[in-house]
Amino acid sequence: MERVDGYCTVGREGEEEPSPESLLEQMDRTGVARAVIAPSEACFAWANEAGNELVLSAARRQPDRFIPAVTVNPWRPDAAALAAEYLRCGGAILAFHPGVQGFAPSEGRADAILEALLARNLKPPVYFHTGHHSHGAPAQVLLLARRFPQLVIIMGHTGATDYGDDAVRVCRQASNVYVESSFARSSAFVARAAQIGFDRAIMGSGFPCNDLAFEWAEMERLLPARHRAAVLGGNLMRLLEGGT
Amino acid sequence: MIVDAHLHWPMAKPEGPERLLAVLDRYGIDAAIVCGVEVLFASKSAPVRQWNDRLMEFCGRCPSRLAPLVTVHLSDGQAALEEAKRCAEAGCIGGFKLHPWLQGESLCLPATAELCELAAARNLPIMLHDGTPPYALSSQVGLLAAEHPATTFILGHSGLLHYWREAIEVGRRFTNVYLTLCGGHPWGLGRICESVPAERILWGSDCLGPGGEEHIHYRMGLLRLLKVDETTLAAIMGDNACRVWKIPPQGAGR
Repeated sequence: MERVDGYCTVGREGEEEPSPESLLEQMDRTGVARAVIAPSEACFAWANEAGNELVLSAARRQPDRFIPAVTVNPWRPDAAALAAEYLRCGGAILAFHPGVQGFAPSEGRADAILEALLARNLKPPVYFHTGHHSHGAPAQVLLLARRFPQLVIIMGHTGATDYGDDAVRVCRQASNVYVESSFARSSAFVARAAQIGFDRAIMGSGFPCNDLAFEWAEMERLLPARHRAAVLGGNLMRLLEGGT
Repeated sequence: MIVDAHLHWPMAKPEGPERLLAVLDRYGIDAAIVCGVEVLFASKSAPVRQWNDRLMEFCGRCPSRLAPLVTVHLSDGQAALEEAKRCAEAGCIGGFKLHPWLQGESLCLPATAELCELAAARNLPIMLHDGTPPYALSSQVGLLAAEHPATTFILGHSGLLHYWREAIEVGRRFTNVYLTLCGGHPWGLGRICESVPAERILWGSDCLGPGGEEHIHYRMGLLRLLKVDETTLAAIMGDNACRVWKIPPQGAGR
């Protein structure tokens, strides 16, 4: 079983977040084969190019270890073209951070980007940070997921903390929504995955805000053995290969 | 000495505290500050008074290890204040717990100020759920702390995942505010410990009752990840809570 971490953040020199190489050391110590790497909050908010180049170059250096998640701020007039460019350059996941980027997924702010990608036959999994109040509630993600049934939507953090119960209800209403575990606390996440379906659950450590080794140990301790392979890597790899 | 400063236990079943005490023993916790569950949703069919009485009785069976935080509903106005006074006069409570989000009550309600003054006069702290708009931001508790400097306030979650920086600022600005490490991620918890005087930091599990022990396991695990010296860790894990709630030193009757 290949262990794949569904969400980690890396930083540029001068940022608080550790470098991709630091993450790699942690992965090696913990036995994590691959990890999704996303840019820092600053790079979600405004330095999109710098963040995307950081994760893409790290993935080029370690193609078997890093899965780059790229982003564009939907307020940018060139957002659609930029997203397409970074996906063509190797971006595997398109990530949005509504609380940091200042939009509600329920509104149409990101729609033009997604429509442009679909027009170019680009269908990356689209990751939304959720849990931020008013900008990233699971119910807002549902409205977007209904508008784009042909896309896989990953609900980052499963609505943690205060929207956790909403996350289950949203997944029941939209079969293209998957849940990622970081910050959702392992025991709560496993309980919700049991309601949603373990085939739609993705383990993410939330490194570096969370301790990578601790989060992996907790998830492995609590996941039913028969679902480990799927949740700890299989589901995400299936989605990245174009499956559902 | 380990004190869980933020723990809930349901009162619907007429049970004694033995089950809770067994949970505490399992995790080596000496004492707990206990909030109710049902009281946060209390309605006319199940009055607040009933839940508070049950909680006081429950904790009263093991007062050396359990201290109750009673709840009132601020929208009840004068009745809420009378209930708060009644509980305070019982002489056994550890303070008050407000959950403005679950209770659906703004801290701008007139009864809030009077409750704060009552708590100050009785030297009882008020713990608030925080980290959730629109009624329970850490900064809204900070506003209360500014308005009522003689009252001790406890941030039950220190801003949760998104407002921990705000909670730090509240803790730095208002010396009558304690922060509970409960619900944040290790990065934020570490920053809190670096930024707020250690004597005003507590630890809590937010265990929600039987079956919720994983909260304790997980949040004790996060504490062990903190890069703080042993004295600071001891303060956070229990010594500070002992001072706030006047819990007897090591042993606590176990």
